[in-house]
Amino acid sequence: MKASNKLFFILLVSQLSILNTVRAQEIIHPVIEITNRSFAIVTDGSTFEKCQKELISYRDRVESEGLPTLILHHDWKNPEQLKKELQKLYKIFKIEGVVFIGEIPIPMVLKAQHLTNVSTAIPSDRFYDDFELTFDFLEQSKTDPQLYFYNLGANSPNRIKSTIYSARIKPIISSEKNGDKYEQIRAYLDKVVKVRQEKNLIDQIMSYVAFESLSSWSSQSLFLEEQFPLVSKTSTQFQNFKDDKHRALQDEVVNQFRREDLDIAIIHQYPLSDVAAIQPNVALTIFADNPTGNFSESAYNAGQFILGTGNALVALAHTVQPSSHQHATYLMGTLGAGLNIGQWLKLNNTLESHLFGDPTFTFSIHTPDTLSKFIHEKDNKKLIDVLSKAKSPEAQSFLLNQLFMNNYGGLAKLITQHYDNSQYATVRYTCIHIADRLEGEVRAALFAKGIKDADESIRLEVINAIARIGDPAFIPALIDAYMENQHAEEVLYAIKMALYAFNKDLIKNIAEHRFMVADNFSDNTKEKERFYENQFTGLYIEIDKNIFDTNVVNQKKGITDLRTIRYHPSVTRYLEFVRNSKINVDLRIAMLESLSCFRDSYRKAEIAAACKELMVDTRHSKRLRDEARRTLNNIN
Amino acid sequence: MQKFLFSILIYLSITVCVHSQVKIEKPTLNTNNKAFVIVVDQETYTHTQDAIKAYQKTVESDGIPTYVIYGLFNRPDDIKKELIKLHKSKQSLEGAVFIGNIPIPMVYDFSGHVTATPSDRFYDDLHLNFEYIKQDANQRNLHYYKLQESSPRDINPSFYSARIYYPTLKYDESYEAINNYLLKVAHTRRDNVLDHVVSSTNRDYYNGCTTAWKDELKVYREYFPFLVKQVNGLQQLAFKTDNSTAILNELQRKEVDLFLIRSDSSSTIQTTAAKKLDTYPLYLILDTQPAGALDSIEYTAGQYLFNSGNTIAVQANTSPAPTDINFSGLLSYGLRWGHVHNLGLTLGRHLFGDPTFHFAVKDTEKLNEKITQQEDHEYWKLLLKKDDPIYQTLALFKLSSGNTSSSEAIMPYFENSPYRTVRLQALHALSIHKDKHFTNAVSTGLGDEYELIAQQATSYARMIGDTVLIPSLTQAWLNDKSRRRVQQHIKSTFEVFDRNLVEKSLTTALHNSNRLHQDTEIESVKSQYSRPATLEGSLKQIKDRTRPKEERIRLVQLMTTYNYHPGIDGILAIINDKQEHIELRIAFVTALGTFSHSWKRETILANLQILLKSKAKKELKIEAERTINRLN
Repeated sequence: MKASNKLFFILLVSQLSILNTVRAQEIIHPVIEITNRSFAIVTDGSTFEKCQKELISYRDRVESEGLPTLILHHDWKNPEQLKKELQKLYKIFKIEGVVFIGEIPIPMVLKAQHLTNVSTAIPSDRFYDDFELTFDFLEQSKTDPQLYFYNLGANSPNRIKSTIYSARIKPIISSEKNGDKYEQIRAYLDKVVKVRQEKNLIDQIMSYVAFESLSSWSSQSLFLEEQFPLVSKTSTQFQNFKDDKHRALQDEVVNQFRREDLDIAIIHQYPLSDVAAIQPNVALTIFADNPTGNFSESAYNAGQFILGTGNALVALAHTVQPSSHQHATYLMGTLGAGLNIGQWLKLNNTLESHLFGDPTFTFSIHTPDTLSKFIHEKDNKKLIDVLSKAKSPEAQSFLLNQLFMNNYGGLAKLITQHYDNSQYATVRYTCIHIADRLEGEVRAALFAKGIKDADESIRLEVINAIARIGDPAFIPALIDAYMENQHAEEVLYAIKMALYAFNKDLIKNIAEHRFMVADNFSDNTKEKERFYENQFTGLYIEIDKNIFDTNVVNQKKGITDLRTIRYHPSVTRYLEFVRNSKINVDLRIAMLESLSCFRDSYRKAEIAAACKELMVDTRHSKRLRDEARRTLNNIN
Repeated sequence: MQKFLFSILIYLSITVCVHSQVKIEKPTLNTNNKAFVIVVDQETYTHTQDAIKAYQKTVESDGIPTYVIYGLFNRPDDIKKELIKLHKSKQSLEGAVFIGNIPIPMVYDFSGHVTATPSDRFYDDLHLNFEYIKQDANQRNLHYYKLQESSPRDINPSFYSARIYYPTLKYDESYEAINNYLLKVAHTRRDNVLDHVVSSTNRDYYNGCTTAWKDELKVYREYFPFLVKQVNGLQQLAFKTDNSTAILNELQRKEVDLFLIRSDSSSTIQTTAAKKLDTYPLYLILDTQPAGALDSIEYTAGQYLFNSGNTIAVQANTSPAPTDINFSGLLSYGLRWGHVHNLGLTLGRHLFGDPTFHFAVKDTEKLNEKITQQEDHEYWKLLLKKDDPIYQTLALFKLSSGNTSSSEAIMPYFENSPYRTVRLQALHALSIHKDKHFTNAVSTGLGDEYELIAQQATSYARMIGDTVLIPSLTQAWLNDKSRRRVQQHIKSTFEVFDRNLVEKSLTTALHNSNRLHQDTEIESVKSQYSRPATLEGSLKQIKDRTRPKEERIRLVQLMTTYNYHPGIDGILAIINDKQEHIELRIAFVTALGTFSHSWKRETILANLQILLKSKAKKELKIEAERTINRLN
């Protein structure tokens, strides 16, 4: 064999081996050349067959905006099979994201109580798009063969950090007149191709919220105005609904969805009903709370929203009720700086957040700061240079976040500078958000400032984080915050919830003094008593009483409550509880599960030490030892 | 017995004789600055002499030469005479404070209303000419006045004024309170930066509109550039039906510099006052109905001054009137509160406490001196060019009140300014010109991102009544549902137009929309507009000669109060009809005076001019002249 032939042979073999692993799957390569990234359309065999023409047009459309796109179709045996292929595509073709069209197996994730709000199985495509997470297969659902149940792996990372972005275009199957499922996909893809030909600046947005305090709403509105500066020109460009208890404005939301010029709708606490009648036209809709995106159901709302009549393109929704502390629009302003929707969401993913529709949809750029080229930038020097010139607040936030993801060493100093000098609430929020993850001195320093920030969202972020940490050193700051936030209902509520995580006597000791010297009450004693009365009552004051009760039902409730209120002072007692072989092993395991949520606790080390000891102590059952290992992993 | 009476008479005549001689103490400070005058009644002077001296010294050390005038004042005119003298002097006057028991002028509202308003505009606006009516039979310190026919109607104060008045029947208590207050002023530093603000409004204040509440936060940032950048820098209390507890607490916060309390009900304020608490905000602005009713012994504004807290002054109304806070930025720059208070002043708005007080001076323009130089238009034009919302707002006010700027010059500030306060002030400034630019601005303003501008625009639209405004109103009505207050105002604004035009505009817009229930909504509009409206009915009824004259007059007043522009032609026809009763024709001419901004103003003026040249009765001509004045 000549050398050149030999090389050709090797190439051929390597190509064949790639194809070989894909085997019965078919791959259609991009038309345009891949330089640094690509995108994958993944579908099942019959969808490919029935929608081939539209899939190709969609591919062409995406490629026309410079993103090489391949199509992969196969009748997927199980989620693992697909995940393996995605990992290969990532390696070979540098895919940055994927859209799942048609019948794609649905991973249902258990044992992820520390990552979410619920303890039931969570439909989650993080199985596919976060390559670091590991999963242990449990079973395929007998009632719905599309569903595959997994435990989050015992050694899996304890945070979400998606490697690629993903979205679903999953047709609705219902008895009603939604039409043939392939027809739905064809119509949707046609719509995408058509709508994406038009230039679209983000200059029309709307938001709706029903139950929220005025000041919280005001702060969130300000965030959106910083993120989307074009909408502040005239009143109608930012229709900002704050409803009241009569829900007087609810009907107007439907008319907003129907607007043909609306770019983004951000929806809180809105019960979607009769979606088919709405015929929405808004390009991107964010359902920030209700689980409208539970795609394990055949007629899930988010799907109806984009697949029905109307030009609605993409919806962001959740498969289960998300945590109320989740900031659904974090870094969203990057959408006006060149990021596509998938790229943005990847920065702010949770286990339950999902995109429905075309994740590569990109709005026109409206700021001098174009950010998409920095999304994979690893050169921190370059990022810092760009940051120093960045004008828009959202560009600054994005770049700080990139530096954080790149583990830049000088970040503590950088975020402190930005926090101290920025007039933008969104930038200060980002600094606090990053400080929370950096821990250590910078966190303490920025939290001390952040809890007094002029912006309410920032104060809330700090207070919620303090509750997770539980260090009694924060008590004085919380008491002061209580006195300073009398005008801010939501902050007072967050303080109350946070203080549940602290020892009552410690709180009293500090409060006695703080209230005595306070100069902002007309009657200090009365106000102090009002504070005690309010703080030392309520649902969560009796957590320990329940846990150490004799009634198993109460005990279970107490242990579950620990996921909401991490009562750090009793960690020693909880660990004794776990060690105590006289106690029902299910309760001890439940306790370990709840302790998984103590990842940010200042007493994490004690829990970790106990878990290490339990893991190897063969006097305990294997189940308990396994759970201890899992807990150790979850908090580390 | 006779002898006894006689000696009393002699005593009285001596007293009168001695006290009617007003005593004037000259300033001890020699500068060319305009002067300030402390006016105090003899008794109070006698009991608080040292404190007054201390106060005078304090004001003078702040750069203002200060007179003290005291004596026995029987009537407001006794004082006004002295004020005019000082104002006319070369040094002139920048302000006055009335301490103690100073006669209270009760002024009949300019629009001819039946109740009189306590108003010190009698003293401080020397352009206005008043006619004395009587002294109150019970409350001897109240004196009733009405405006003379020849008097201007617009308020344009010649200097600022304030009261330090402790109403009580126990005089000793009053002297002690005034003493303590004056010493408090003398001891309070004037370099306190305005960096802590609290604002409270109740739900009704914005018609329950949350957007209005939220938007106000953004203008606070323009008003108050020096706020500490922390949670305690600016506290905007949520609007609730009852904010009493929160208000009481905020009044205790020692760091608060300015506290704005605005609400329709005054219960909280009265509670606060009743509790006789010490209050700490240096300056309080109370936009609550009777807080400044100084004709009442229980007027609440005063309660905030006479306690051991830090409060120096309170702005409040003696009668219901909206409080314009658009000049609040000048407080941040350290302008004297009296100067700021005087901008856009109304009949009922009053300052209680020391009007010379100010926060730390932060401006680079020496506005405390410049602001009284009304004539220097070139200066205000230069100031308008500075990229600073606080300067621009003031410049726009000065240029428009001096009527020295064209609407072309103002328009760019309305259309392009990134500052909400500036756009709002520009809209007000344009309203003076009553021209095409103003109408265009109102049309654009309906969609301004600042809710208050849109709301003001609806009011102006009502005053203008030009049918070119219907499409913009329709657009705002259809596409701006998140602003509750604007929505309510638009609905009532539609009533000043021809209903057929409105109906057509609304149904067409709905038809072209993509609203889910557009058919139902179109039907609802149609049924609503098929019912005859009150004002439309009134127009028919005033033409009906079989109706009693009084009823027709009442109806025309209703039509004009509600700015029913489509009725103008009908009203003019009746005025021009010599068959109609003269009394009716006169009343109709009076009624037309409310159409000062109407798009048919020229028509009205032309008609009245013809009337003046005709052989009409003298009374009718007098009334026509008066209405012409009001329309110009």
